[in-house]
Amino acid sequence: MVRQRERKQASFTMTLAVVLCLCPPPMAPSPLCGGLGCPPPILLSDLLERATQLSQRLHSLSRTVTAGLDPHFSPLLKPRPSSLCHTSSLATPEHKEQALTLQQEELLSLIMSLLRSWTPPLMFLVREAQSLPPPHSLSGSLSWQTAELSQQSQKLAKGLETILNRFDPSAAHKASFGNADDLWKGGASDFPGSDRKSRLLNFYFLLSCFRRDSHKIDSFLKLLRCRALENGAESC
Amino acid sequence: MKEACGAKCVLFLLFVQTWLVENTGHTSPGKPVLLRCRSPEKETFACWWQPGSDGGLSTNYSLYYTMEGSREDAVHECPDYKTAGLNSCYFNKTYTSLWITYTISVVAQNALGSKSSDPMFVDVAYIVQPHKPENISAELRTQDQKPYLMVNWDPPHKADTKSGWITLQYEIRLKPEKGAEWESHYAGQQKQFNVFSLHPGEVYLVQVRCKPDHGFWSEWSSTTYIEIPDYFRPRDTSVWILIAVLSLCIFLILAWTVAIKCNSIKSYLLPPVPGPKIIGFDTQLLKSGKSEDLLNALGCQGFPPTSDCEDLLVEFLEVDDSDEQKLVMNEGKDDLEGRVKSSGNEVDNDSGRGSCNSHTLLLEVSNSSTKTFAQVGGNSNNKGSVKLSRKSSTNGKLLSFETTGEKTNTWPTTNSSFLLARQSSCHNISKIHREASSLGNKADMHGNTSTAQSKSKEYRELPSTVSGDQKTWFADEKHAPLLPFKSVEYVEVQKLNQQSMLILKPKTEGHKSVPPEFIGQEYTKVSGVVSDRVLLLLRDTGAQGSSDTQEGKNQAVPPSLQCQVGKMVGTFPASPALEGMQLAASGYVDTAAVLQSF
Repeated sequence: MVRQRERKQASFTMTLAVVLCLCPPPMAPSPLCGGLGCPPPILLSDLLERATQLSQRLHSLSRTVTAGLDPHFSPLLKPRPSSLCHTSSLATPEHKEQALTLQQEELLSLIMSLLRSWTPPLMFLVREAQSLPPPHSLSGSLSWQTAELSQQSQKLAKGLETILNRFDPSAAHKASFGNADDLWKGGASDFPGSDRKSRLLNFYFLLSCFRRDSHKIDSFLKLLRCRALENGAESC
Repeated sequence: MKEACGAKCVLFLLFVQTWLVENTGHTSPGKPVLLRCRSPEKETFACWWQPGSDGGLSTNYSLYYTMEGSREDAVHECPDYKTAGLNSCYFNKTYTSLWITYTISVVAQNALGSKSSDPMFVDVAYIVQPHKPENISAELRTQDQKPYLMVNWDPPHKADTKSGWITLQYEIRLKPEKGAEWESHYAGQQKQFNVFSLHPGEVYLVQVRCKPDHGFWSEWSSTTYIEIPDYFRPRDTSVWILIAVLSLCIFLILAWTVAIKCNSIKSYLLPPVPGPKIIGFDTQLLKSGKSEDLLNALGCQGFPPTSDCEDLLVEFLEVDDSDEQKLVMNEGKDDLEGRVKSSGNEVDNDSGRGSCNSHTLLLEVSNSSTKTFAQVGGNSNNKGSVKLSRKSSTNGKLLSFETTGEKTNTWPTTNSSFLLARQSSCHNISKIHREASSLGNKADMHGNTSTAQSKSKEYRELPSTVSGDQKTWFADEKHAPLLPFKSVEYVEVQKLNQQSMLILKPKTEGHKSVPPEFIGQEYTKVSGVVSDRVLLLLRDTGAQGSSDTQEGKNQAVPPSLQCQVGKMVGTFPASPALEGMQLAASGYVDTAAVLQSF
């Protein structure tokens, strides 16, 4: 009798143990992937490699767009003290030495500020390209080119956020360039006037500013990439 | 006043200037042109200009620039006119700022004036053109016995690729020394490249150039020479060795095949040349026989019956009107073949065919135009007919019909005056060949039995009815004794009448005389008839009318018949041809002679 009861208890505990093992208890919501079963994280160098590819493509595209407009507008566009790109207030290094002295995080935040500041004007450019009566030879390509520019820059911005999380998960850095979105005073152009010529000039001017800034982004990212490579001798 | 004075002054000045120009030829300088500005490493840059005409006076050039974002009147002059060469301006690191637009212009000035060039807007970030790559080394290596070229190089020493400030892409090109075109390869950002498409034994030229991400290609580097030695050819040699081994194997296989199939190949490639085939003429027999000369002299060919008498039989067998004869003929053919191996005792049922061994039927062949021969005999089937078949042929042939072996021979027939049948040893003679020849083609024997019949009324008819056993000739006993059995009498077979009856004509009527030369000749006598079908000829030298042997073995054959048969058998003298002719005159069976009489 006693033995039977003992057996029953033993079997019951056994069953319970099995059930508990097989059915895991509800757990707290885990981060995106932090446990043991997660795949190994992508290397930072690989992320930066991907970012540089995106930035290179972005700059090449902007050069293509402006190259089409250069014959028409470059003689008309003379740099004036007032005609500065809206991002000129951002203090970016102008020499290599200056750039090399910056820290990785600083450089990255700078890049991100630049990129973020261009989100509204790019959207403006897309709208302008559709509504603006362009020169004949570029009528077809301008609209999709500017659209492509906008998409690529947004893609790059997302990638840079991922990279930023690697550098510093804290959200403090994200706030540092929070005002970048307001840099561009939407609509207020250096070429006031709503006539066709002024609009075209403004259009071209914005594109040329973007071409420069995309070149900056590309250069800084490549600096970061080489710096992130451990051995450093492979591709740098 | 003042205005007039001003105008006068201007005119004066113009005059002076023109005078000066005419006298001295000097003018203000021409307008210089800015050619380009380049930065080799994105840290410094330089500009070059093209001077205009100097106007005959020493002209100096000055380069002025302003920078974007600074005040408009902050014009700077070129800090360095020397480093970059003549008509250049070099901006070192201090004066170089990226992502800023420079406005550059050159001013040419001489004693008479100055001229300014058009401004050029320069952003250093966009004018990067690096120097050539350096330290190019080409090394020959092998991979799986395959040579390839490994080319290594360094970036230009001024370009800072380590920090990533500038990123270079490379392109390599090479060509054989005597080649016409370069072979280019894009190498990406690596500083090493392997080239596989090489021709051994040639000297190759290798060059490399580079380009930043967003900039201009550099110039091609200095040429590096590398020689591909010839000893990498063993790969070709191994191919030749393989080809040689394969061909050797194929050759061996062919030789073995030929050796095995030697004979069949020989017969295929070199078929035996058939000897001249004269119908009725057997060269072998000729050689062995003695009568060759005579034959040739006579112009008779093929006197000894040839071995392929069957063919002749086939050829020369002609079917008479009666169906019986046709049947006989057909069956005769079969018998011929079937009887090849007939034994001695066997009756050769083929009509006209000499059976057995050692029977030879000599058919004299004459040169008459038409030949016929009678094939008398029975058929196993019997119609037993006397088959008279004629065939006209041009040549007379003597058929020597020897049945030594097995084969019975055919008869080529010609018009022979008589039929000679020679029996050597065998007693079976299946048939007596009768030849009816028509003289001079007059009589178409073929089916002319009626005429013969009409003429031969007085002759003995030999009805040939074949039944069952074949009494070859004549079962007609009624007509039996025209000729007494035991006496030596000869009959001539004239013709076969319509009823397939052999018409015999006794030779006692005047043909009895035996030419002297035939006395003592051999005659063949019918010793008997065997199986009602076979006439047994007895070789009897000189004996005439030994009719004893003629006692019929075959009961069916009446003695008279045998006698007649015996008489009908011709002799076979030594020289069959000649004697045959004469024998015909002597009263032997000679249908031709009989016919002639008509």
